Amino acid sequence: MAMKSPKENSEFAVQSFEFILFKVADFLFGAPAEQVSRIHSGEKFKREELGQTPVDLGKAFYVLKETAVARPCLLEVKTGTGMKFFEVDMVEGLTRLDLSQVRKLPPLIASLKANRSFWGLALIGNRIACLVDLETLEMGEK
Amino acid sequence: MKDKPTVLLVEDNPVSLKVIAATLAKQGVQVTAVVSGKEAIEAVKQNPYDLIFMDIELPGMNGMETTKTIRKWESCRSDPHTPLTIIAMTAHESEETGQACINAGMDAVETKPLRPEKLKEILENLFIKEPFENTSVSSHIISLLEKEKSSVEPEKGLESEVRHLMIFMLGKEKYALDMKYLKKVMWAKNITRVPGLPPHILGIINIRGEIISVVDMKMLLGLSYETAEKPSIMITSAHGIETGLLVDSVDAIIDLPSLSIDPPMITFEKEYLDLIDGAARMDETFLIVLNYENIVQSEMMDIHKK
Repeated sequence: MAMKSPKENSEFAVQSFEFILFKVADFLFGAPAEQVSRIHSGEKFKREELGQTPVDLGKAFYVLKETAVARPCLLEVKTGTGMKFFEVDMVEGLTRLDLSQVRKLPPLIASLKANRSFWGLALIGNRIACLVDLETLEMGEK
Repeated sequence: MKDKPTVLLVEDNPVSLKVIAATLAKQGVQVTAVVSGKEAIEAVKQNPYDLIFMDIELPGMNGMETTKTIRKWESCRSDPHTPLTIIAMTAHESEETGQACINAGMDAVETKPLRPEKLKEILENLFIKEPFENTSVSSHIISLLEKEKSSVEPEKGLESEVRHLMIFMLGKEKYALDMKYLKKVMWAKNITRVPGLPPHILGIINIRGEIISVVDMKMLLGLSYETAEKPSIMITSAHGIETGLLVDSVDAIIDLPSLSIDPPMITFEKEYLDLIDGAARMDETFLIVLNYENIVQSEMMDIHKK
């Protein structure tokens, strides 16, 4: 999984990219696979041992104001400042997307989006995934 | 001797009446407008009209019955006269309807809406090719000057004074948007929601690989009507940016004189006033005419500023 995200890739000779697809509530998201170093799910991980509070992607994207229960999956992402953990509801898996499947955000969405880490859209069959950059994701943006 | 050709316009729809009357007046004819067959018959008996535009769907006595009565009255006249030219106006473009109009005594049938260029063509065929007699040099010069003036900018003036609008419904209210911004209309389906957007941004749709944002017009305008069973999306475009507008239903296309659009009513909340050009009376209701440019540049959309 040594691919660069399309956003950062200056060598557009590479025409396809690997993404991790995951869901938060009913929303389908995609993040460059190279950003995710590990996926934790089920009861194999202990939150208290993470040493930090995971970022709830639902809250970051204003999907739900409150979540009664912690989301069951964690994405472990290595950033310039260390490890970050992101809570999601379900990980669908790894997928390879052609450049032709990726779209820039339409102007209205780009103008009003909740978080600047949301940078594009992917057309996957009849579904559309919101592409996010987990490395730069910050909470509380508007 | 009359200075201008006289036209009797028989139309019960107040908006169509205003549009056609304004367009005819622009063409230099003298227009008398009535809203029923009964009034039309009375008017014809009292005034020598050159032409009648007759809507066939009138309340009470319809256009065909009215025409039959006028023809009967003409046939009983003892004074010398030329039969009136009666042109039917109908929304139904069928051979059957056309034949029924001719059988009733009408001279021609035109389908509504009557575009300015069509009206001009009809009037030119009837009057301009055979100029009306002028008794004085001054009236002749005046008519030449009027002709010259109308040939300098014949359509531009009309274009700016008549707005081509698409009417759509939001709950029980009628709204309209300029046709020049409309690209197409489609059923609202397969809208993908996008997280973290304001509630009036419903999501996105994929039209053959092109992603278009969809705006819920009711939310945008602060209306609290429930969602329609089978809503539509109007795909609009301005400055190269396409936007889908979710509406309850798309109703009709009309031509409306700008003069018949009154300034926005004070009942609109201040934050929405900029989005509205005004309101026009239409049948029993009001038609609210929106300002598309102001909508896309409003705080709630802000597409072009950013």
